[in-house]
Amino acid sequence: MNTSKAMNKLKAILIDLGIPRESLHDDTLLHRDLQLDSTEIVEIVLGLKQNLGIKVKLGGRKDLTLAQVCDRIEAEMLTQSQSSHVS
Amino acid sequence: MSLDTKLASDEIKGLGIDLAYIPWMTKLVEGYDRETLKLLFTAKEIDCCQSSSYPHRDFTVCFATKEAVAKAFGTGITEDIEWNQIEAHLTQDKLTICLHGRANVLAKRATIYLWKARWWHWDEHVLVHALAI
Repeated sequence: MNTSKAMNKLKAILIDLGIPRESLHDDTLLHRDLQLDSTEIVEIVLGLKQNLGIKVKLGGRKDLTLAQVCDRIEAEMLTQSQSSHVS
Repeated sequence: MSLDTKLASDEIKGLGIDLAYIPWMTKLVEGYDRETLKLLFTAKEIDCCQSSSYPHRDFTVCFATKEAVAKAFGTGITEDIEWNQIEAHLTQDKLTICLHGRANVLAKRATIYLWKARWWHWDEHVLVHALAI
């Protein structure tokens, strides 16, 4: 999955949560800019698992931009892909 | 002085409270498959809640317990502590807590050897209160 596909999937989940599309940019921060609470973080994590089959950790204290979340999505996809090749 | 009062003054290592909304949990439980829900719940929790007479309420109690315990650690859910490392056992009205993996390691490091938890349910909300001792 390339960056734009990961970003599109992430944005689709956020739009489903009721966040306006025009609020979503690469440098948008989950907490400071979107004011996401813990229940919405849960929904993003579950949405990524259900749609992409990956487990992305978003629970830390560090506020992440959408681009940083996409980096984590891609890293997890790469790890998963490598482990499936090994097995 | 009662035992609880003594604990309050001497032994409590942490306190966490969480309020969760049952319709939100209902949406999650009905919207995601079992494999996805295992990011939040252990297999045992899922089986227990699904066989309960009040599954959505019990899933909400389990989730609020995880959040309350994570808060009692002083951190909340982090990259170190995952939801499914905190397991809630709900039998009748008694709520007990079992930690796994990194959460268990962190508890031992913080010399937490006992958890006391209580829960309340009214209207469409669940409140869980967890004490680390």
